[in-house]
Amino acid sequence: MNRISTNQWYRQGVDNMLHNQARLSRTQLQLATGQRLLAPSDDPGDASRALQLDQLIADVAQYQRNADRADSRLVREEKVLEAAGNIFQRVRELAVQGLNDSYSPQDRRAMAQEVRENLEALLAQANEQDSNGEYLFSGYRSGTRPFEETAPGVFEYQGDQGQRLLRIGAARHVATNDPGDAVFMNIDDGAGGRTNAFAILNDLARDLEADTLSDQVLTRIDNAMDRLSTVRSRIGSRLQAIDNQRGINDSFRLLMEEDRSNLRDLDYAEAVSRMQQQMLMLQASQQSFMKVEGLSLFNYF
Amino acid sequence: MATSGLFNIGVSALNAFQRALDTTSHNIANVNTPGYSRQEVHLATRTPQYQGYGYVGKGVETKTIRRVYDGFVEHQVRTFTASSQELKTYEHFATQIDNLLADPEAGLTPALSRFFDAMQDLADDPASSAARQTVLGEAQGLADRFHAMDDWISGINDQVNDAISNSVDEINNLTHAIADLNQKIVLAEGMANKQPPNDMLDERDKLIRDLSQYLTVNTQTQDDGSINIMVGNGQALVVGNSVTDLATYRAEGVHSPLKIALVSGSGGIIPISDRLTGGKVGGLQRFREEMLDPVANQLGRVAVGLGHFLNEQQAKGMDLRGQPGEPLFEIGEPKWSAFPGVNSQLQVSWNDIGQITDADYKLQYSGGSWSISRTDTGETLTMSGSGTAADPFVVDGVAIVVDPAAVDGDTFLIQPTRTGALDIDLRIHDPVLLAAASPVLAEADGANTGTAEITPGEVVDAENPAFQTTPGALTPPILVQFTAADTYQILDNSNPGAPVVLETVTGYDPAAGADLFPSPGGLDYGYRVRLQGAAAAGDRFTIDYNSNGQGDNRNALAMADLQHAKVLGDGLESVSGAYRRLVSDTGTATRRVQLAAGAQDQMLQRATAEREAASGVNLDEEAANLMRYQQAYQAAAQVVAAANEMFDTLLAATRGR
Repeated sequence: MNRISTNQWYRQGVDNMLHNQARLSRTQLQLATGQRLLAPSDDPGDASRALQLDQLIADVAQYQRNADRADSRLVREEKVLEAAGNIFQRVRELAVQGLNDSYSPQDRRAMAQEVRENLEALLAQANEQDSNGEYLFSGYRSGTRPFEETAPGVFEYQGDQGQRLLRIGAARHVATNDPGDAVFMNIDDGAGGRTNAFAILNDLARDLEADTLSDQVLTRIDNAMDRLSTVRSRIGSRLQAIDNQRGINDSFRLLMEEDRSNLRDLDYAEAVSRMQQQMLMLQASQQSFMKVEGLSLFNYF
Repeated sequence: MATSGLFNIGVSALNAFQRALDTTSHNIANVNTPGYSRQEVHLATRTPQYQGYGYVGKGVETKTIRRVYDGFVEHQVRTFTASSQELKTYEHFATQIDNLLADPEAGLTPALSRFFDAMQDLADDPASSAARQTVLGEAQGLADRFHAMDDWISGINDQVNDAISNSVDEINNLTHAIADLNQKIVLAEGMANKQPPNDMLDERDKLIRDLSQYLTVNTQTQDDGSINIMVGNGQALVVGNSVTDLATYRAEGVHSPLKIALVSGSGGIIPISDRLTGGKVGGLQRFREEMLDPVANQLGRVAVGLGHFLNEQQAKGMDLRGQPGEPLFEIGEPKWSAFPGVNSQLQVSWNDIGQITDADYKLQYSGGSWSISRTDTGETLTMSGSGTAADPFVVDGVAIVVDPAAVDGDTFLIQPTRTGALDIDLRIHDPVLLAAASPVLAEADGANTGTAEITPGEVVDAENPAFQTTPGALTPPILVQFTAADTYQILDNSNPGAPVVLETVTGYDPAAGADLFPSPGGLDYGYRVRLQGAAAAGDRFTIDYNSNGQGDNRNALAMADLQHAKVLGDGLESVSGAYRRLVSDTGTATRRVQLAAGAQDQMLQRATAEREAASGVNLDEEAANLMRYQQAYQAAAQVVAAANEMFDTLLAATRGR
């Protein structure tokens, strides 16, 4: 172009400055926010992926919270089972004593008294409630007291078989309770029938009082203790699984966070050097504008 | 003779250079006048006089003063002004949407996350009234967020309407000014023997360029010097000194979008929006059609989908009172509107929300049959059904019942999800009504000797009479009893003392397990229960209403799972995925229009530079001209002085004789 208008010349200088200013201001905003993506349009694909990662990371945080809760519930249940195990341990000692001929019927009545106290303690444990007042062992019927003595010596389970699952991973659930009938009821009585943990104690006390104790009681007590330890080991393996899943969740979250940071976060070193370059360009365009604008033939009139 | 010739030549030069100096000064004076084209004086020799010895020059004369003007370049500037302004306008609005969606706090994602987190917390603790209250609070937060986003879309819609209305006012002002100048130019040229009224021509070109900021125009220069202005495909806005005004009107559709029409001579209006392109008007219309409406539809679809599927799951559950779950959210119905002059009615409802799209549809009755097409692609779609209440038309998840009174040409706009985000509302406010539990519970009898296990059960159809006959009970309660390791009976356990055999199933395979329902004989109670493992003769399983199951969280888990479940787009898209697509679609469209706007701006700058190169004033050039014509003027004055001296010499010689 061998002819240029005075306005055009001026416009070009100003436009150059504006353009350089706009680029600098964008870099400045990136530096101020630490974000590489200022709007989805900067990179629609990355922006959408970053949103998805936001959600995955939030999901994992929720899974970790769920895992914490599942953990505390199971630990709580385990404590009850441990206490129940201790009760049976003591009762077994009493039963062994009761079977020993060296004790008098009076001694046995005293033992029966202690067994009854232990029965009360076992019932209290089996009817344990959590901090929200929900029963631990009544399945889904968490508002219903699970074990009742419906008639003298008759113990019935009032809960159901519901097992509450919590999600602790994208594809992983864990049971956070055991219905009481699977813990305390339907225990092999060693004679081809079924009994329950409370009846075992009740019968023991009755037989001690009546002085009609047979050594079959030890089989029952052992069966009940076996049951308790089976349930406890199941809880142990669930707690182990929760621990493992927590580890998996943590490393998954780290991976996702790194991924998200790559997508969204600014490379400061690059941005700072870019800003310096842009400042230099703006300065150059301002200086050349000032110099060039002063040129005019009219200066020589 | 000789002296007077010299004198005349000198005077003609003085005059000519005076004009040239005037013009140069005019150019200098207008260096900053928008739309000004530099002017040039065209000089020519006067007609010489023949003498016996040859032609004697008689000096100089001013032929004309013309502006330096290139019609082709001017046309290009107009064209690129229109296209660049269109994209700039589009970009301006698109960037607003883009920036809002960029804000991680303002978008839908955090509200969605919080709601589903609260739902999982409820699953952790289904009887907790605090957890229940939190779910309701976050559900309200989610509805509020939908409303806020809809509000904000409506706000942009209002801005678009205002801008369209202002543009139409401006266009009318400009066309009237152009018609006025047309008249003046015709008069001026007529009076001045076709000499160009340069400044008026510049002014008119400037007005036409301004008009191009609003829409693409075509021009036709007439012999009398006037210019006619056409838009669309040949609709005249200016013919000579008469103008056809534009007006706005409210068109069919949700929020009655503002559209543009020609005001006809009789005062009626002729819709013309679809044919107007380029400029602010084109940009506003494109933004509305390509981005704003689709964003509203997409957001509405997310709201409708989320509300519907949560409601559906809630209905499959049991609340803290032991009753079936009531809908959690109120969701809107599909929207429709009739085109102007249509008197028949429609009934439009949801048929299958898993199938709905974010499109708008045009339904038309023509030649005795109904047809439907998408407004974005124009694609004609096939509808099933016959359009009656008993057998409605069904297309893309929407059911349509048409009016038997419809007449040929009746046309409707159906915008199923347009107000979805506005319409969604929280419907229950009592935390007890959240259905965290499942109403059905299958259990194994404690005395079973086999090892077969039964799943607790999962509701698939809450409408089944098993749930509906007596709310809060299962009709009938079921007993499953094995009569052999591979044979079981399904019994009606309404009277546990005397269960009634409904069906006997043989061939149970303990390794493969079996779904109890639907049974081989066709029993189906709207829930799924699965048996697996070795059963022994006499083993019993019961399926009953989950009475007192306040600790059950199965349905809360199922609701929490809806965050990622692919329930939309025919099972291909999750609710949050649909929202992410909205964000990335908007980002992509904004990016595209930003790039195009940048490219178009370059084209405009190039055309403007070309125009400036030819027509713009260069002060250095004018300074040089100023010197040149000043010197020439001084020389011409010397000629007059010389003629004067010669005359004096001659006079003195004659006097002395």
